[in-house]
Amino acid sequence: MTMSILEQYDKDGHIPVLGFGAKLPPFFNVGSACFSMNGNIFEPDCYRTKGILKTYYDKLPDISMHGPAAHAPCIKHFVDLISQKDPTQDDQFYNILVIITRGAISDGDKVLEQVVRATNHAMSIIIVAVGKENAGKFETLEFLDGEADEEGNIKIIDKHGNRAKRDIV
Amino acid sequence: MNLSLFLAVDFSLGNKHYKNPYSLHYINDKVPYIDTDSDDGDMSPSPGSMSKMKMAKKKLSWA
Repeated sequence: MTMSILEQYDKDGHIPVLGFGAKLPPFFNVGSACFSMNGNIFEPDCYRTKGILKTYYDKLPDISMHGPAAHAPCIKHFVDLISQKDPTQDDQFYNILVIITRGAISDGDKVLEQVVRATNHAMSIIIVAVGKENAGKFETLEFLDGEADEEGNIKIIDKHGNRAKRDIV
Repeated sequence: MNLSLFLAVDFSLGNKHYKNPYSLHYINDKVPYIDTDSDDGDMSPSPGSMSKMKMAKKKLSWA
């Protein structure tokens, strides 16, 4: 639903899709925290929501779901990608990262670090938490909500003391 | 202004979310559902292993 609304604003319809929290073939021995859902990390694009779902169904039987749910590597990958080009007056664009998660987060410090880093670029993060069973766990994501204090400073600060420049989550 | 979308999917959702209508797994028939929360799990021995009953009988025969 979220994706089908947002995709209307994506001009080319090519959406890079990464996954995390799964063991991959052929050995299934290490849980991967950042892999391309279509199997090609150099070109992880899927065409619109239809393509995302098709790839998801095609690839799901081949992988083994596995924790932990480390979000930071995927966010870092996207921030690295986005940071290569910032918008100018003549070339204006904006980036939105949608994270579909069950709510559990195993690397909060690292995620904060990447979120603070992302505030330097033209991007926002939308977190879609799924699963009724984990309704309580969604509170674990509230630390990413960058509300401003009385003085107008965003509350998100990473472990190095860097403060988020704006609220992007 | 152009908008670019990026998507990250948490695959550690696990089997127990299979029945959740909000989960992508809900409509995927290829994933077997295993109720990991259930207390009455399958206690039968794995193929090739010795059942508890056989183990008990073997112990008795040695006693």
